[in-house]
Amino acid sequence: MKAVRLNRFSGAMIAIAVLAIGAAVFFFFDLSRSQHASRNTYAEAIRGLDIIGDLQFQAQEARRTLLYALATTDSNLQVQYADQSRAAEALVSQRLAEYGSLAFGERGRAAPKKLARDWTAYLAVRDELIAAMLEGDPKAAVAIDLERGVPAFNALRADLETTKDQFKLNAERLLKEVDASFQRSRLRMLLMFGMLAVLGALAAVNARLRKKSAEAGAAREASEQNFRQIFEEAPIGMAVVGLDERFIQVNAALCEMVGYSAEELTGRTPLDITHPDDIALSKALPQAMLSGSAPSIVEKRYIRKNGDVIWATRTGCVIHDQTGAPRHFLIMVEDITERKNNAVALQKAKEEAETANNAKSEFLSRMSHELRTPLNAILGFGQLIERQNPTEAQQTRIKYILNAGRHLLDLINEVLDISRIEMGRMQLSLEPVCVAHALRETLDLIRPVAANHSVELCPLDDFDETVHVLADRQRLRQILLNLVTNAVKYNRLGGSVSLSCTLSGQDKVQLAVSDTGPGIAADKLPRLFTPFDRLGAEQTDIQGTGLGLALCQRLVKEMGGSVAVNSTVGEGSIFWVELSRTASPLEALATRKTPPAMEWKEEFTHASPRTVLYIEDNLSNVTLIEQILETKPHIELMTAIQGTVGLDLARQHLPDLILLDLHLPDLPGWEVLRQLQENEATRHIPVVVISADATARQIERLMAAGARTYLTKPVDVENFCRVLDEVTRSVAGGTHHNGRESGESSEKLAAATVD
Amino acid sequence: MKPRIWIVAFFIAGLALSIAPRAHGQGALAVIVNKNNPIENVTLDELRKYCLQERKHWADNKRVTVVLREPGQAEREAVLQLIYQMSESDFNRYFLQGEFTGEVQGVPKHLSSATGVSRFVFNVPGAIGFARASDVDSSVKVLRVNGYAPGDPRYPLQFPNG
Repeated sequence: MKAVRLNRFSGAMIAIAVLAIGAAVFFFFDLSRSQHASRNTYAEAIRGLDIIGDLQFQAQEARRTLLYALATTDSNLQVQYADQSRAAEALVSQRLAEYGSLAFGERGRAAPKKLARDWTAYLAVRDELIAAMLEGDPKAAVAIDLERGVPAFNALRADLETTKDQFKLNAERLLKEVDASFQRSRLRMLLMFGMLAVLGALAAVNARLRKKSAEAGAAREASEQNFRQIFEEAPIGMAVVGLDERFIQVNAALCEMVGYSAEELTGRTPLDITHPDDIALSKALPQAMLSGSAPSIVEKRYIRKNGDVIWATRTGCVIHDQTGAPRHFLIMVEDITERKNNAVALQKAKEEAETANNAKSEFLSRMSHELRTPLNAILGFGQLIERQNPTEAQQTRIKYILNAGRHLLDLINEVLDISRIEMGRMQLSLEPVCVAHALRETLDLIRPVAANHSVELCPLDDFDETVHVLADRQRLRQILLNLVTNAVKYNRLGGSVSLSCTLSGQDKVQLAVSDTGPGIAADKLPRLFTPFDRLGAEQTDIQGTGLGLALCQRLVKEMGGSVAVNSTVGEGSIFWVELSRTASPLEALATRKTPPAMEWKEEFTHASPRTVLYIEDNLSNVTLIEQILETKPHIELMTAIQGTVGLDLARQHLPDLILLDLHLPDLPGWEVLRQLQENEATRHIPVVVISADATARQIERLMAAGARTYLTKPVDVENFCRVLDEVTRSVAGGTHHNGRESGESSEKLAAATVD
Repeated sequence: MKPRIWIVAFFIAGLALSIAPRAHGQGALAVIVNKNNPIENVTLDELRKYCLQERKHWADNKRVTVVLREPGQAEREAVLQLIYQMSESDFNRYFLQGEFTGEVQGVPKHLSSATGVSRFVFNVPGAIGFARASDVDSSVKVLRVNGYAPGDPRYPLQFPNG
């Protein structure tokens, strides 16, 4: 198209160039003619002025010599002067003839004619005068001259002036005309040269464009050749589809894919070979491609000529012409039937595996619960029999029963925990836990076991009591117990176990358990945290479930930490748990500007004594509350680290306020609350729940169960004091003694707490 | 010897050629008048009357003005001898007397050159002059005398010395 335009343009250019050259030649000759005419006109003007000047001069000369002749009486001189006069007159006549031949005379013919007439008249007078003079009659000659010669000459002179003026006018006019003509010709010539220059420039541009067009054409040809080759030899199906959605061109791969020949496909539409279920999707694609909203890749089904259904990814783009208007669609189709089948099979297998895994977890969970019930009877009655003075043989058998039962119970508990974690049902209460306390508790618990195995527990260093980690206190103790128990169980006789705590960076704490056991081979380390894989220990007498480390790893992960091991065969192993460090709850109290006690001291100095029961197993929290209430002399604090103990204390002492943690080692907090509410004696005691679980569902559940208010850990001291104040005031108002509360006060407390 | 003969012969031939034309007309005394003068032929007698101012006007009524060369010139002597048939002194006396008596009003003009004579005749319509036939140009008219033009052997006005 572009080449055709260029050819047309070139043809027009050539025609214009020929015309322009013709016009230039014409204008050149016109300019030459004008220049020649101008030059001639100037020459004639000069010549005319020269003639007129000479005419005037010669007339004066003729007149002068005639007067000379009149002034003398010598006939010889008279003849000579007469001849000179005649010679001058002859020149005048000659000039007159020349003047008459000038082109300037055209419009001024009247003046030269009069001049000629007057000249002739003057000559006649002159002849008469000369004759009279030569005849020897000077008086007659002078008389003739005065009477007719002088007027005739004056007339002649006037004629000459008139002629001269007329000539000048004509000359100026003609000169202007020829000058204007010349200027016009020159302007036309310049215009023509300008036009030729423009044409030359256009021709140069045209030549350049043609060259570029030729280069572009060659490049386009090469590009098209490449495209054709790519199109034909592409391993995926490719097709050029018209805007009417009919195939224009298809490659061999597509033909092979759908089983049609190129001739069979040409003229058909992609919808003709599309699976019926995908036709709606396919119908919308062309318009979506034109609007640019089509998805980059579409998966759809095609029906082969033999009826088989194939899956394919279909990508496409719009091919535009030079003006940017859409011309064709280029569609690329890749057969993904095999991949699709594999993906479907994989998905199915995955779903089956997940179903099986869930079923397993569900099964284990249910089985664990079901197993615990008979196990409770086995262990309980076993222990009863043990207390009924059995014989030595019976003691041995009872010991086997109890050991086997406890082992089975541990196994069930651990299986249950793993199952909960995997099912996402494990609920952890993350709160600041004092590392020193946790380690000390662990050592105290494991000490008898270590003594039985003749393993030395290294004394604890002076742990920093302020170091706290964010963890579930019970689960952390479980983890540490598990690690230390393993360190004792798998240790050598007379070996040792040590615990340590180090800071890792600014926000991590590492708790390490080192032993002097046989160590673990490097090739076995990757299997260390695999459930039920005891790395060959099942061949020994050492009892174990194979679930401890797996459970530890999952618990630590649930708490946002990590567990790792470093072991050397023959020297021992080091297991460490890394958890996030957090601030001690006591730090908030220490950094408080004004001790709350100072504010309350005066207010409660004369208040009646109050009793507060705090059921909490976390010693850090207990210490915190103790320090907060230390300066409240009217409040007596009782603590219980187990739920059952707490319930007993509540029944015995009927405290004015109960602070309740939800994660207790023996009973869940909500169970403690339920029992308090069921008991007539304790129902009226306000209960403030203090928990790390800040979910709205949990808060609603506890508030509905009868909690007065709900405080979240870490405890905000000011908020705690305010709540304590509110509750104790309401208690002072006597609401709880009659078992009824002020609804207003209750609402106020709940609002303050949630804030 | 031969070259000298040729040189002498060449010289003689050139001399002969230079002399030959004078034998026919170059010795004639031409009577010239203004070209506007209608007269073509004049008799010797009429010519003498014009010269002596016995006839003062031409046929076209132009006044007759005679122009001659100055004394001592061949043309003047030929005119005095052939036409006036007077000596120089007779000539002067005739016209002095005529002027004095008023019988003669047009005394002949005297010019110093033949060209002057011709130019005078050219300028004056009624002028009549005399010149060697060989000196006459086309500006004037040469009259036949007695019906013969100069050059004709029968032309009556020939210079006395041939």
